[in-house]
Amino acid sequence: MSDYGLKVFDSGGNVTLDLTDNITRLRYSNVVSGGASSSTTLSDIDGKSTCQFGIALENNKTPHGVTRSGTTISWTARAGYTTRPSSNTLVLVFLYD
Amino acid sequence: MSDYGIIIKNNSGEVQIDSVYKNYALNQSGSQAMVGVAEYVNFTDVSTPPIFATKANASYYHCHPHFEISGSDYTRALILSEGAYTLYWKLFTSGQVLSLPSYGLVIRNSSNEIVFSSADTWLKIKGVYSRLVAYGATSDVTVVDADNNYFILTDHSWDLRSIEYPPYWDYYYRARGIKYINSTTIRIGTFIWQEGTVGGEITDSAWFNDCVLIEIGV
Repeated sequence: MSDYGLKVFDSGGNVTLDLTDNITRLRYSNVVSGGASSSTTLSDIDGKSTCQFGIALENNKTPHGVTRSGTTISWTARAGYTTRPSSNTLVLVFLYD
Repeated sequence: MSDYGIIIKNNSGEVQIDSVYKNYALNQSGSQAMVGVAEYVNFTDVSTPPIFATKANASYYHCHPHFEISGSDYTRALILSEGAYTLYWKLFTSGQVLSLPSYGLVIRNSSNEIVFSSADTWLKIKGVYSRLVAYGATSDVTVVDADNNYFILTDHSWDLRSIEYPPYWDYYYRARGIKYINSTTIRIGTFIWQEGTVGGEITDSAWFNDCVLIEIGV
């Protein structure tokens, strides 16, 4: 057995967290308005892996695109040409190492 | 990084738990028979930002573009499907979602909020795969375990166009979704989730080639 880390068992003795697992932590969440593009800097994600994405909070509308460049997380309003305008969007950024 | 509390790393030196940021845990799960259009999956309301992950189906594409909200609660998830099948889903939220354990480990942040409880089932990132998938194209992604793991495909892309069949035009709503190919392969591709007849030409689209497939285990 390793001499570091944490191994978690449930009451049945099953391993629910092991030394090789990547479990994720929520670093940032924000509900951004439809049509508005902006960004935020999260200096502590430097050198860390993240996954970030947006989910629409209005039906028949288009969610923002969410990207990362360095320590900057940007959300860009997107829409159809004539229908399905930009939606209010839940922006999530997760750390996974 | 916090100057107090606890940091747990895995055997690759990656942080699993700290005393600042909340881990994500399984809140609820279920299955639902889909009929092959746009359908909502209802879940017990949650007040913190959720993640909705699904298993890929071998016969039909699907995607999840939208959460319905009521006030500050998230109430259901929209699914667009290519055909009729049973959808298996899991919903994850932050913090402790089960009752406090009578044994084990609970970690709180400086605000006394629970960031980890050993009684919960934790969301584990098995893979993050970035791809460029144009309208009409496909991309096969090698994953860890397509049989048992769940997936999130982002960002949502859609397309609407019609083709003339005199005296009418048939319209097709398409979206980008995922399909199961084999135990280690998920296909990202374009599928029709709604079609019908209209009186004239329609062309509209919000299609973005960049997308990310996130593989989740529990």
